[in-house]
Amino acid sequence: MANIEKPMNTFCGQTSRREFLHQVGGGFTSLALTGMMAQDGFLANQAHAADGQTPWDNPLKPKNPPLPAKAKHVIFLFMYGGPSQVDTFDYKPKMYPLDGKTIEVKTFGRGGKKNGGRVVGPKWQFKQYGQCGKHISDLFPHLGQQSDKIAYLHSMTADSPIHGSAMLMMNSGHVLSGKPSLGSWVNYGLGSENENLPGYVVMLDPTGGPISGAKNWTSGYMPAAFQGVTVNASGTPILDLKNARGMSQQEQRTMLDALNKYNGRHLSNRTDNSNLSARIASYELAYKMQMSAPEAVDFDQEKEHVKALYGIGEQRTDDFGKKCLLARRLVERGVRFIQIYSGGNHNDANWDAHGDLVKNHSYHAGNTDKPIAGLLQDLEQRGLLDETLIVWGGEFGRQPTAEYAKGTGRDHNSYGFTMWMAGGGIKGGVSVGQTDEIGSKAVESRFHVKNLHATILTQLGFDPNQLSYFYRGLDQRLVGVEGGEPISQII
Amino acid sequence: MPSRLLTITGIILAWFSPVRAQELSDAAKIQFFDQKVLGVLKENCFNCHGAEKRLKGHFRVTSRKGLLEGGDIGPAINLNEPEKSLFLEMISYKDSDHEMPPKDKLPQDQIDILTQWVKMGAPFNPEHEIAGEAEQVLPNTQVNDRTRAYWAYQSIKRPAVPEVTDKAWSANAIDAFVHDRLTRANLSPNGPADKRQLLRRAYYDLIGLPPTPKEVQAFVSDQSPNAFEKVVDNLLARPQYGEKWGRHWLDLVRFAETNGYERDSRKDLIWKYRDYIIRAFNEDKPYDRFIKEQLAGDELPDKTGDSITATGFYRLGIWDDEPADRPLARYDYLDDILRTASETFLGMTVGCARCHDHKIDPIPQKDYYTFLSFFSDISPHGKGGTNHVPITDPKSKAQMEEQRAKQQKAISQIREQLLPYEKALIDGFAKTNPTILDRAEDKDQKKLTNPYALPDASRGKGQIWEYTTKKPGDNWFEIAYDDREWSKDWSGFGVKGTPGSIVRTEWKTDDIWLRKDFRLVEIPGKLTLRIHHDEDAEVYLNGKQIRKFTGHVGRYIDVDITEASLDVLQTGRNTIAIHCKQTSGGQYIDAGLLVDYNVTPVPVLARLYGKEILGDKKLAEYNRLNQQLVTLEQQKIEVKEEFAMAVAERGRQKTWVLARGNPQLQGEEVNPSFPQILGDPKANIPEGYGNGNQTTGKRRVLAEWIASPNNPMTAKVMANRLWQHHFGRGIVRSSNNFGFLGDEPTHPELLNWLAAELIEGGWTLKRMHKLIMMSLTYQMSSTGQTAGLKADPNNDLLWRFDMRRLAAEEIRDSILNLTGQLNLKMGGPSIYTEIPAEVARTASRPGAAWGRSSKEDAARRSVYIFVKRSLHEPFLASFDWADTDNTCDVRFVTTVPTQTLTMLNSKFLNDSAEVLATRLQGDSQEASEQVSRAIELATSRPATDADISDGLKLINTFQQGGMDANQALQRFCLLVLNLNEFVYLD
Repeated sequence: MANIEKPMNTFCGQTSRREFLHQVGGGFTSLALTGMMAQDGFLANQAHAADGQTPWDNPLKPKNPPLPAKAKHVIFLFMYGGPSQVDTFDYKPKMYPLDGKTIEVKTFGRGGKKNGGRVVGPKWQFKQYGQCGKHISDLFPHLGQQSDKIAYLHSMTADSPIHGSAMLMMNSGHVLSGKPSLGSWVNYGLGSENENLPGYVVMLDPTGGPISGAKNWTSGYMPAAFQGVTVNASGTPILDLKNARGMSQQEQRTMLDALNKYNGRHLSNRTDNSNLSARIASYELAYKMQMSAPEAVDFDQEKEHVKALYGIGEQRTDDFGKKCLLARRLVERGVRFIQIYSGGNHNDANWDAHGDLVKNHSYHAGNTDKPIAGLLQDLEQRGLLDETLIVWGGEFGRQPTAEYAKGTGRDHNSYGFTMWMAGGGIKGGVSVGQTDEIGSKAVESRFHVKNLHATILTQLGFDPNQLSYFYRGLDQRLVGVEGGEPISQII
Repeated sequence: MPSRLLTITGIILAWFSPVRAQELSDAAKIQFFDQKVLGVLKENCFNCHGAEKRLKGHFRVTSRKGLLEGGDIGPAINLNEPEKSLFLEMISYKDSDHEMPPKDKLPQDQIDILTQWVKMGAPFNPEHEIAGEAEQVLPNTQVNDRTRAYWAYQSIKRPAVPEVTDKAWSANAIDAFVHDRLTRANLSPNGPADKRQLLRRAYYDLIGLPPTPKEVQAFVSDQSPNAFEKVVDNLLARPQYGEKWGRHWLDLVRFAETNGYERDSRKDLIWKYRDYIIRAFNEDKPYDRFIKEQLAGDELPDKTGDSITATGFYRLGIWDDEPADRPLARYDYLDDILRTASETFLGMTVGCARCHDHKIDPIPQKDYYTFLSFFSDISPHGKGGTNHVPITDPKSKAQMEEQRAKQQKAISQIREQLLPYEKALIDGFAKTNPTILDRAEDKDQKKLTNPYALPDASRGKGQIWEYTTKKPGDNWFEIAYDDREWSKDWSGFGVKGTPGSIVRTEWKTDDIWLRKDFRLVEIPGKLTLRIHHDEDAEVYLNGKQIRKFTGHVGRYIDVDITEASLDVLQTGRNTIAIHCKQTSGGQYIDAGLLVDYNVTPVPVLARLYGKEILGDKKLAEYNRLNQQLVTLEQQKIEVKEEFAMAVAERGRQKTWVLARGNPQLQGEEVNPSFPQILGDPKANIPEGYGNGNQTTGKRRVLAEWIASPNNPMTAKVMANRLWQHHFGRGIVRSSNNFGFLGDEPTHPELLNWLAAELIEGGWTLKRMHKLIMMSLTYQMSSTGQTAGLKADPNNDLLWRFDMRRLAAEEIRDSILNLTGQLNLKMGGPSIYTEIPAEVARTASRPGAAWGRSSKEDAARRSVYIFVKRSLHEPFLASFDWADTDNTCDVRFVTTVPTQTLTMLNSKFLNDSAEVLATRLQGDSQEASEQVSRAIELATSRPATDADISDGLKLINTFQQGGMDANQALQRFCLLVLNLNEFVYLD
């Protein structure tokens, strides 16, 4: 074998994985190591110590971020389908008189690239709210009251105006399938503060998941342990959490005790294999999860006025309200990343307003306005808003012009759209970036989805250009090889 | 617009500098730079282009040299024609694809300053230059003598087998290499594994299933020296071997049956590729041939249906049917193929060189594109049958054609015999009723504009049917049945979102009964039922059941019901009645009737008037002949063209080196050649090497180069994979990456030896399995030993055999096997397991997310479960099933509480526990025997006293708590399915 030096400094200062193991220090390095070891599988499958006493290393055990963190939790309110910016938060007064007029404007949506069309003026009036005087559409009377907490990003851009790839982009930073989702990166980086609950929770719309389903919360090339777990805000929160066939808690305990005896005997002459003890431990962990997870969805403990704040009990807002309340309860219990979908399935079951814009957006905004406003207030009252980063937005926005000859429907638009963030060290009452006068594209301080992701990771205490996972010969990052900067104006 | 902008710039410039910019002194230029320009550059450009670590687009703005050299898309400053400088074009936002700085356009005054500065010749104060390091040149990223000498790139040579003192460890060369290495580390190998453990190990390794208690007994009592050899031979001959080892291959090629993205559309017929792989392993297809078939099975001189099916390899990846950027998507598709091929066959991450030279390995960017050009002619992906290629065997096709010709001859003979009878019938009938037959014969006049006696829901706005969802009276399908109490509404009936449906009336109960009257002025010669049913449907016409359908179709289908309806059809009022039954998933029912009057309804004439026109005898003869004809026609032999989803080429596509991997930035044009680091890169594509003129033969040249014994990587990479799946990890642990960032081999010489053995043994795999399994190394026990644990806790040197957890498929198959439900049926379209509703609800179309198979089919081996990218089978997914979007060389082995929840509380496990309990009760009524049997079935060893007493104690405790014996036994069975010993192998 030829004696060839390993490169002393390749990217990220990393040499071979083998050498890397010897360089393990604290902080971020050990973080990357966990992933590498888990990824290798064989390492995870090996004895780590000869004593048989080495405690099981739960891949989801809580970890400290390498940098000081502003936020410990993220609640991503995903407005699936793509809300129209000019009808929600991006006030375009000059657009009203253009309604019905045909203009030249470059657009790109599911209907392809076009050079002009009939303007659909904003269908709602805007009012000013808060000390910041932010103009917000009548779709969000409750959220308007919270505008001083919110930083609006009016100049978001994405790589694709097509649902399939755009959903992947917003959730995983790439238009190509197979990459880990944002929540998985957070889960990988931080673990879960509460081992009785998953670190990454996804709540879906009653009409179904978004297109591509589980691809939106996949862990991609990382171990499945980091993927999102779908949780229901009512009934059994987690799949298979409930004992089957009427097994009582006591019966289960009896059975687990017996199982432990068998597994203990099996382990006795295999003590060096920590995977066996890990599996034994996992039964206890699951048992604890079964005991404590239902408590998280037990809203009976909540006061009536709190429930009312979220619109629970009101027909339109009950479902989303419960999800927002559950999100707060999960935050209190240490869950790191929570994603709630407004809208599911296809067509008008989500914000994808190709037909009747007014009907579509009135419906979805009406379902979510009060619950989200309630969430912001409740978090603030409990002192949790400072450590909880709220993100609101869809996979893209919508066009200023009509999609069809008749009607108010708007096609997709990834040239410019609005998202907003609040809490978790984000400045309130600010607006950054601008679209042109008709909201067709971002023209000032353009931000890419990568910048959004970088901002989230930064608030959580990571350098977005350093949080990496070794896979396929490369240090993979959420923000890609070229890197991405956080949006400094709102931090 | 641009011209106006220029004018404004001109005016400002004139105002700015009274003298022409070029005439300034050097000092003044530098002063201008320092005062006006530097700040703008620092503020807006430096961050990404040179002041920090980043050098986006390989473009440095922090030095004059950097500006003049430019980046990926060329020099930034044109000194001869400064106003045409790329730099100025970009800051002026002229071209929407190239706008800098990316966030905001600069204010006009700054643009003007920079323009003026460029016109001056871009003076740069050297004091403020940040030269930065040159792009770091890493010693291992260049193709040179040093990197060529890297272990992985050496040609395969059989090394000498080391001498070892321990005679037992020198018989098999594998043992000699392992023992030698251990000795050098002052370690000694473990003794042999317990016979039962060894047998269980061998069974799972080769067929993915455990031995039966009988097989265990036979092996334990077989004292002959070749007892284990017999077992290995037997297992290698079993068809389940191909299912187990085929699945390892499917991991590598990221096998899936859908395309991903919004529609996640099906790759129809791609299951044939899966069956091909299983067949190839079972037939012990030589590995070199296996490679050639997958890469160029359509171009081989001795191609077969099988070898063409193998090229389904190219169609397995993700594909966006609606990409935002089409040219890029085309390259993404090819890139996915290149990555998968180079990692799977060569253990090289060539894909890393798409945007720039590989940063770790000696693979220049150009090598990426020369490699890519082998694939550049592959036709684009598409939906449904786009890439369906005929694979019919020419011999069987000829046979079928011959048979068909025979049959057709027989049919024409009978037709001839029938002619006089038919003529007699028509003539006889014409005497009494001339008008109808006139019309029937005069086909031009008879051209009917409306072939629908009863339009289905896809015609216009549908039809109003009578329907009920409450079970009606027994004679509900009769014409005369009184349906006035039934509801009336528009067709079709069902739940929106059901594939192929047009729902106008929601029906979501289990059953629906439908009735519809329609009128016929005369009896048609042909009657066709057009129906869409989801699921089972019975169709009645005038009280007679004419067809019964099971399952669901997903679209409208046409069924000829002329014969079936012959005896009941009447002019005037007719009634069609349908009962549709639903169990799960989407649901839908609708039907229509199409008539064709252009066919004379002779059989109807015969039924109605035959007796009087022909007389009894002749009528009987007519009926006999007619029946013969019907029978013959029903046995119609169709020359069925068989298809597979496979590779096809479309035209010649040029390939260029693309700067930064960007399809818009075409550089040097390249032709196919091999990675330089592996030797002579020249790829000679002989004339006529392709599949006729349909393909170029490029892929065949690539395949032959990869499958050559001279390729330094191929045999090593495969030998390593064989080792990996016997020992739980490869000699090179990063089995897809033999490059500098991969792991070095723990036993380099052994790896070489195995590779040489693979080649010299004619690339057959079964021989290699046996060789490996007959070694003492494979047969070692897995127990710990103090010296080994201390010196080599990771067991790199193989002082013991590593325990392993069963893979996802093995766990599920073992559960089914344990309960006696496992169905070993092989091959064919994929099946669906029962999945929890909570999982189906994660899909955007929950009703259509997953299919349904019969109970028997749902109990087939896991390798046959439908592989859907957006919905992985949840049980398999929870046990670290392979990712479907990327090649998977090593599966994770994770232990998380959600797995435990599945094992304790899922329906699958609890159903299984119930079946297991029933099985045990069938074997014995004695609780202790039931317990003992369960343990033995699950662990392949006899139960110990402690096992039995703990089990009985548990059952007793449950019974004392009020459970009946059966329920208590079920709980114990659930415990058995959760044993560590059940899912871990020694």
